[in-house]
Amino acid sequence: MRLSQRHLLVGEVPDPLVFFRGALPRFEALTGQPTVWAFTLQGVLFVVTHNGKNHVWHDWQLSWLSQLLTEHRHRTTVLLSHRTLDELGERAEALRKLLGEFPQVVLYCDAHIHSPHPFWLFGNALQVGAEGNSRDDGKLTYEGDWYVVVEIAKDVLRIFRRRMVTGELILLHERKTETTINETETGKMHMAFLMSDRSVRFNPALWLRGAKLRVWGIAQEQLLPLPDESGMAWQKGDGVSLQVVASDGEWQRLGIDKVFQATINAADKEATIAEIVTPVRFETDPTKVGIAGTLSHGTQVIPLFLAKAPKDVRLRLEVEALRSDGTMESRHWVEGASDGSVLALQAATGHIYLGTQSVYSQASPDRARWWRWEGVDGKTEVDYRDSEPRQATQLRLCLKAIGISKGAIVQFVGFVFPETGGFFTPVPQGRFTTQRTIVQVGGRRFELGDLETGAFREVEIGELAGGELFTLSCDGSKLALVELIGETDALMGHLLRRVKSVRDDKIEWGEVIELADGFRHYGWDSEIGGTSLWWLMRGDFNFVPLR
Amino acid sequence: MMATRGLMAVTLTAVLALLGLSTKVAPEKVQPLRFVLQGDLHNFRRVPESYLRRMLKDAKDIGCAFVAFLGDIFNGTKENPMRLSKESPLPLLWQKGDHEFFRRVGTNE
Repeated sequence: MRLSQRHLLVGEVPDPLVFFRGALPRFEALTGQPTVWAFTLQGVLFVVTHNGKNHVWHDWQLSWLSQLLTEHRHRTTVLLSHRTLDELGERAEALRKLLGEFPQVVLYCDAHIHSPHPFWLFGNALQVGAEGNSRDDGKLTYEGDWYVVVEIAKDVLRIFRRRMVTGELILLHERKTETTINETETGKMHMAFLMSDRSVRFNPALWLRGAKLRVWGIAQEQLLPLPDESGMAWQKGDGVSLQVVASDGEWQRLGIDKVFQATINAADKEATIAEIVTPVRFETDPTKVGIAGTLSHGTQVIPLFLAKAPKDVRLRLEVEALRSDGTMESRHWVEGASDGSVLALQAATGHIYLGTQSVYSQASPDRARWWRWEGVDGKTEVDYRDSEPRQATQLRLCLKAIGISKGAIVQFVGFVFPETGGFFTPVPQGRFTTQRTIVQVGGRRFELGDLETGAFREVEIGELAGGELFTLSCDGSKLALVELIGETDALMGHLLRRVKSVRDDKIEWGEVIELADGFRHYGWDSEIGGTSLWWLMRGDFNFVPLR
Repeated sequence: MMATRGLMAVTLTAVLALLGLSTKVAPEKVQPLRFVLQGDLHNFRRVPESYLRRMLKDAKDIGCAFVAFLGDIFNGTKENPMRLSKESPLPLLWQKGDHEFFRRVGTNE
């Protein structure tokens, strides 16, 4: 895939280099919202979580969630999620275990499966899906003109089916439980942004009072040696000479100081530049893998090669999964045409178990051996209804150039990331946490030192204006979770603006934030080119167009 | 106003207790908090825009505080469901899902 170089701040996730470039993932750019966040509304804490394809309950989010729920232990809490709570797999099991420690979580709301599911109770959390617990006269919400309403009252939770045509509000489920709903506790915010070294974010709270900055350590793991570590692990192709050279500005903008440089001494249209073999491990227990994935290694690894070749040369990354006896389990490749600049070639090798997706059901005999083998980018998948889990113990990675001439030069770097959340950064071989952390916010600079994964440091920052820019620089994993905590009357969404002052409900707006150019460039201007404003206490919702 | 009512209730309870009497003071009424769940819009390919616009208006009419769209907002066409924010009568909350990690807005990649 071609490296997106069109806008400095926005990344087309899964542009794998979005975090290399210190850019902002697309969804966060579109919504203006943090990676994960929580807010109080009428005495209830709502948590907006981060999960989706191959991003299921990674340890950094569970650490954040554990601390959040500890601090709000006596507050009725609702988790909003895409993936369901009953998923099979170690990651979902870790979430269920965590929620078991916090009985104030009374609701877990999900979607994903496009169908109703029962209102299961995990611990004290009722699992409610967007399609309710049954179809209405055989019809889903949008087919039958109904939708699901959740009601939290002082001593009861109710789930309704709202029929729009008849105006009926039909009780689907009622659960007696004391809640902390009240008329005053609204506007406490926890806004956590997963950021990479040199990246920028903006405060979406209209005006944050009593603000704290809390920064969490995040781990990153990478399996291949970089050019300044060990050239010996790489095997150069025939007719190719290989050396390590200092990188130019284009590489350095990605945080890469040294690259391998291959010179083609003899070529006939196609040349193997270099190859390397790295050990991998795939978990074979279906209950551990499930659909949610394993806690550490065992579900997916992602090779990511960056290469720079003469224009029109085709670059190919071949990935062979090898079993311990040397036999090949799978082979796939990704290919791209060079435009003379850095090209990213991303693949993925992994599996998930689809025999059953829920801990509440057992696989039927005809599905009991249903594994999905993933390849290329995780979306290119092969389902085998009668198959085995992956058994590979090694990946052989080979970079090839097609249509290349004698004397041509190819520069490259290779990375392999185990499933650590998809936030790729240019780290050496090994496992690293956040080091030498510096956050600049509101014109102030905070040095937060080294942070182990799951650990945090915090500082008081007083008041923070809406749209205020903050930046992260760090080493080690080159990742950190930067959290703003405080109280606000309103929350901005989509294209954020700088706020000069707020007096009652009178806002003096400043400039729109620097993402405005990105919105125009990506064609989002006509759709959502403006700022949504949610006055939390009053419930007002306005939209302020940019133009 | 609420604080005054609360103080009166506490005072009444205290006076009755001093007189050796007991009573139950009715708790203050707090309006229930309602919100809507919807999800898997898939660029309006699965959940039509016309239905959603009617749903937003109806949810406002029955006193819902917000609508939570629980992921898989995008997929398949060039439509962008977040444009609902422009004319929504009540707050919209956008949760990411599987398709928000796929390649491009407006495609199935």
